[in-house]
Amino acid sequence: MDSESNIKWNPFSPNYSEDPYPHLKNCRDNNPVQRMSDDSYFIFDYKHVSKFLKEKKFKVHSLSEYLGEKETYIFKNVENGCPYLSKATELWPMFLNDDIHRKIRRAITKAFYSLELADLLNESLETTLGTFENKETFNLVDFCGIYINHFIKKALNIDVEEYEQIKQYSNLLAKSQELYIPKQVYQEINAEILSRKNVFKNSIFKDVILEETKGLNLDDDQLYSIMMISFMAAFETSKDNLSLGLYEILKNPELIEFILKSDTKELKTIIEEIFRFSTPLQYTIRINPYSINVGDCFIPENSKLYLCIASANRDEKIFTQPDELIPNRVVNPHLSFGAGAHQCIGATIARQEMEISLVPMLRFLKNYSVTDVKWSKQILMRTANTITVCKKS
Amino acid sequence: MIIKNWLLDKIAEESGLEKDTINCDEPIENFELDSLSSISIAFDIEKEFNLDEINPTVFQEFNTINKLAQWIQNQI
Repeated sequence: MDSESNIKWNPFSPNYSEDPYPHLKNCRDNNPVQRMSDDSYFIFDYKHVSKFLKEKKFKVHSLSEYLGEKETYIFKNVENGCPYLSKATELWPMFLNDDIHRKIRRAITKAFYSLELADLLNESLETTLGTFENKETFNLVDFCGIYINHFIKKALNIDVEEYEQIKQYSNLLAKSQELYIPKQVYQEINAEILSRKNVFKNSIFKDVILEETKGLNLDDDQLYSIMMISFMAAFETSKDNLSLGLYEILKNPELIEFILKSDTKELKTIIEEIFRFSTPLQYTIRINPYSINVGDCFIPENSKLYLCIASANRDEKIFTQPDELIPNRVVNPHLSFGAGAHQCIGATIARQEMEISLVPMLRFLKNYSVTDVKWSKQILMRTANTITVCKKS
Repeated sequence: MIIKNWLLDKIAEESGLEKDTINCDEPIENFELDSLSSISIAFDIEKEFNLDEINPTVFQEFNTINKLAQWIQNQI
């Protein structure tokens, strides 16, 4: 199939960072299964992305193994290099299969649900609104980041004072799983991870992880690996979902009014639509243990399949007017949290974060308008570096 | 010439080949650089020559040291 079409996925195509969706639509419409030069495959249509996410026998690839293979190269000629990337990512559940995956996943889930979420989130919201009160202009990404940071910092008892440092730590952790990362950045990630080995102080969250993983005899590095992923997964995607969603809503005064007047049920519907529209995690990877046919394309066993969730969430076969944020969208089987065995552990938390914050934040932000946006070049996780908002005169 | 020499040094370092065995008209893919090293070289090119983000596909389009050196020359 791919040989018949000139449309090739290219995240470096013009304006991809600003708006990947026209390019993804082009791929979906004209070449929905593409073989890449490294024999991996990209899949763009909802039907197959959804099916493969839910396929029980499909595996995830191991980031830790990949980084382990590359460490010799990454740290060649680096004085006092202390390769830690493979070790640091060893127990990140989205890259684990089978029994160890189930155990780590259960531990993290239990730890998150041991928290007094509603109290923590309400307190975070209050702090955030207080921090930005009377500001003429600010970065909306930080507005959202500070809300999530306040919650996650308390929940995980993170010993880092400055928000900017937390943001950098989280972003470098997120980059470790990105595409097209040069060794120079891996070295930076490695140094950051090593320097923050002791930031997760004692907490109920950590106690629950330890209790739940007793039989696994985790060492300190493995415990750190779990704490890191709990932190990054909670901070990065929530910040991105909220900031991308608010950015879109602020462009549309009617939408702001609609949301401010919504009841609980309507609010839940809108929030699902924001998840669909934002899709912070744009791609995820699976391995097929047996050969498959996707459309006309034969995919040999053990291939790396890049499932483009961002494209699936805009597939017009499933979603009417997919490029519009429709607050009362009734049928909305979006895949923003993935699906199947690796479905997002924090989905419920993400929903609660939104339910608590969306209306109060919009009440505050409706007096502001977006004046500038700087998108990050990240591919797997879509994020903006800055969304500048200014008070309306 | 400076750019070409810099590229030769870089590719020798990354591939582990002796500099004088590298043919500047030979496709870079023959030096068996994997995707991570190509991206890392692109990153170094950006820094060294003060260029904006380079599309890693330049290595496919300008696939020899001579072609790549000419391409960089045209960018700066």
